[in-house]
Order: sequence, then C-alpha cells, then structure tokens
Amino acid sequence: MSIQQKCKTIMMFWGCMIPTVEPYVEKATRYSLEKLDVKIIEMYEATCCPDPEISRTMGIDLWRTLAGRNISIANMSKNNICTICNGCFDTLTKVDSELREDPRLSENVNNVLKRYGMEYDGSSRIYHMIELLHDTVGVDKLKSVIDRDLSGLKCAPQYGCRILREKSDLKVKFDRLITLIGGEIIHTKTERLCCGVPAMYSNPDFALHQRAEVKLEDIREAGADCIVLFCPACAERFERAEMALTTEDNEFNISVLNYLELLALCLGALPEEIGTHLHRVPVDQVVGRILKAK
Amino acid sequence: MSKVNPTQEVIVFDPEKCTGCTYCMIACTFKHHQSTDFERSFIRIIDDPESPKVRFIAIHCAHCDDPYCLASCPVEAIVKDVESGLVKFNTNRCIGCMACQIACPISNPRFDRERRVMLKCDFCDGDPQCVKFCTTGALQKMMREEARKEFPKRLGGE
Amino acid sequence: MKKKLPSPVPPPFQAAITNLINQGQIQSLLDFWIDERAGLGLPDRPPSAYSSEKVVQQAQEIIKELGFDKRIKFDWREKRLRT
Repeated sequence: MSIQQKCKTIMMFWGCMIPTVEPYVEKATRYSLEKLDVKIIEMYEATCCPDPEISRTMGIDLWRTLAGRNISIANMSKNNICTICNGCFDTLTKVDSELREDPRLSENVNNVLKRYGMEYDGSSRIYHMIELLHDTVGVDKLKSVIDRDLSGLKCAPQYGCRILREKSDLKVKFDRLITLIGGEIIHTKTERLCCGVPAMYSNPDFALHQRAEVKLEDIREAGADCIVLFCPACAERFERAEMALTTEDNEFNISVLNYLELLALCLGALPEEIGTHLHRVPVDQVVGRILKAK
Repeated sequence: MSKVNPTQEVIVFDPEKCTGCTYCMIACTFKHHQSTDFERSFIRIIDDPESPKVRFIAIHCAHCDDPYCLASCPVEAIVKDVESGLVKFNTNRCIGCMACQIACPISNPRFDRERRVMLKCDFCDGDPQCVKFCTTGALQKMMREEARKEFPKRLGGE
Repeated sequence: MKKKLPSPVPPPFQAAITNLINQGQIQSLLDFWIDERAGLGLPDRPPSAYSSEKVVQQAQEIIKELGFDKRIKFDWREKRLRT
C-alpha cells in the first residue's frame, strides 16, 4: 500500500478560538494527526463558522450563508470537514442539514455564492474530532500507536452542551477515547451542567458563580486530576473562572486540558513542542505525571 | 368557553437533556426586548441542585385549554385564539393588575417594569425562539395530544 | 411593542458582531498570540480569514448583499456599530 493510500485526508475547520487563544491545541492536533497518518488540508478561504449564538441570533440569513460558504469550500474540493470546537460543529452541522432538507434555503445561499464561483452541494460530511479519532482513525489504530498512556490519570470530562444533542453518541465515544489512552473517567453530579459561556452574555456573575464555580467545586471534590475537553470555549471559560475565583484560602488549580494535548503527549510529543506552558492555569503537574508514565 | 384544539402546538421540556446553558432565555429576551438580560425572559430555567434526578425545571406558558389567567383578567385583555389555541395578552388593554399572575398555577405572566403591563410567552408566532436555540434539544415543539402521551412516560409511567 | 434602543445589537454582542464584519471572524487575533504561534512553529496568522484580505472582503460583500449592515446600523467609514 502506498503512503498516499495509507493517509486519510481531512479539511480542518479550525474556527476562531483555537488558532487565536489556544494555539497549543492547534499544534497538538497537527502533531497527533500526523502521527495517525491523517493529512490535514487547510481551509484557507474559511471565515467564522459563524458562532451559533451571537451571529445566529443577530442575523440568521447571514449565519446560514457564511456557514454554507464554508461548507461549500469543502464541497468544491471534494473533502470532508473536521472541527474540534463544539460551536463550529453545531453551526456547520445545523446549516448543512437545513440546506440539505430545504431546497429553498440552499437556493438562497447558492444565489449569493455563485458570484464568487462557489456552490453548496451537500457532498461533504462534517465530523467532530471525536468522530474522526474514534471512527475514522479507529480505536484499534489509536491503541496501537500510543507510546505512553495516562496511567490512571483521573479525568473529569467536560462534554459541552452542543455535543449533548439528542441522539448524539459523541459522549459515549468521548468517554471511550479517554479510557483508550489510559485515563480514569471521573463522573460528577454536574457533568451535564453548562460551563457558563452563553450566560456570560446576560449575567457574568451568574455565569461565574452559578455555572463555572459549581462545576469546578464538584470536580475538585470528586478528586479529579484534570478536566478533559474538546470545546475551546469551555476551556477558556474554566481557566478564566479559576483565575477569578481563586483567593488565598480557596485555591482553584485544576488543569484544563484539551483531549488532543493529552493524545499528543501519549504519542510522544514533548510539552514544550506543543506549548503546554501557554495555559493560563498551569498544567505542569499533570503533564509531569504523563511523562513519567510508561 | 373556548374550544379545545388537539392539534395545538405547545413547548415541551425534557429536564434530563437540559444543561442550564440559559440560551433559551437569552434568545427569548432578545426576540421580545432586544436585550440579553435573561431576567426578562418569558421562559425561566429554574436550577434545583438538591433534586435527586433532574437539576432543571422550565417555567413557561402552557397556553392552557381553559386558562385561569383569562378567567381572572378584569379588563378582558386576555384571549384564547380559537384557531391556534394560543393565549394572547393585549397590552393595549392590560392595566398591570397582576391578577393573571396570581391566578396562573405557575405564576407565569410577569409584570414588565419598562412597559408597565403584564407580559408572557406569545409562542413567537409559531416559531418559538427558545426551542430554536436550545443547544441540546431539551425544549421541543409538539402537538398537545402528542405531549400528553409523552409526559406520563417522562414521569416514570407507561 | 418594542422600545427603541440606540443600537439594535445588545452591548454584550457588539464586540463579536463588529469583529465579524471587520475581520470575518468574531474573535480578534492579538499580537501576543501571533508571536506565540510563530514560537510553536505554526503560521503566524491562522490559515483562514485571519490571513486573507480577499476572504474578508468577500464576507463583507455578503454582509452588504443580505442587508445585515443596514439592519444593525454598521458604520463602514468608522468600522463600528452606531451606538
């Protein structure tokens, strides 16, 4: 089998948060996918997904058209799309299904796109990174290529609201991906609870104390070593909340790691190579434990 | 007495799917007040951390078949639309006496301090924003009859 | 029914919407992160609207064609929302 045949290709939709505030996740993703023989095709012409909250609320036509435009880039180059961000995944999959189901909507979008020589045709599949790793790369391959594992690191998964949609099996696959690299899943009472991102638009104090703090306290009480997630918005919220909530006699020091960082470390990456030092809340302790593991 | 419409659409909440993200409240507030202050929302997600099974309760207008609010209104500002089944408030008539809030079993109508009238869910003309923007599918729109069959199951029955 | 407000965009949404129109992305890319990206061996500007003026222009034309700019009272000269 030639190298070309062995490689899987995927068009990455990086979104806005990972490249601009969590580039260590982008780096860890590039490292991991290379090790897993997945070739990344860049989406140079991508705009914002746009986000499923503010942009969708303010202008649903614009939201749908820009998302349709992003999907059309993959359609025209005959690629499938993968995204790590739950928000991007929500926008792209929602718009894709709307445009597939309603010819009137896809016609409206294509009327705008045609002047740029673009066309939405619904031929691409949109993957969440969980699906790409679990289904496309596959659990057997993942298991066979890791150099070291998490050796029972206690991981509190943060699924994020948008992958807890009806009929979504992403939660189960996420759990399996954690155990696959040797993590112990710590389930908490509040694991379904939102991290507080949407509530920030309405009442930042509520978002901090009634959402992030409640979750962080629960996770600390459950004895987790770290929070593991995919969604960059949840990650940013938790780290900011920990900084805001920490006082002299109440320290929040829970590492918040993207699954792809843990995977890259298990695949042999060095922490400085993937930039784990750039986290707002230090992750050294957790990373040190992983490096010591066989 | 208003005629019961079995095909009337209602909002149904599944507490096991709710994550308390509050975006239903923000979407509702934006639609009706062009604001993001979810205290003004017509749907309220109530947090009950002590509840053994489900954490959230949604309080929203059920557009009752035989509305108590309508019966209590002294100025006939409330009507039940026979065709759609929606319970509508006429803000041009409302005097803000709050009788409807007292009469409602879940105290749903709220006094809006800015407009000095009672306000509540208007079902967004058939396209409820809370349902549209619900991140997990916890809020759904379905026919009253369908909802009546669904509810006992959710409460642990057949 | 609705009270007239200075901007149709509520304050908590304004920064994101302004960024979307000016940059084609709701999140700004700070110089700090441009340097850190380069330090990680990543392209200093992400491969998307962040590194393509043409893509931003295309997004802006779509915004105008759909009348979104007028609806939210965007001032193209000042590159900000009228508040």
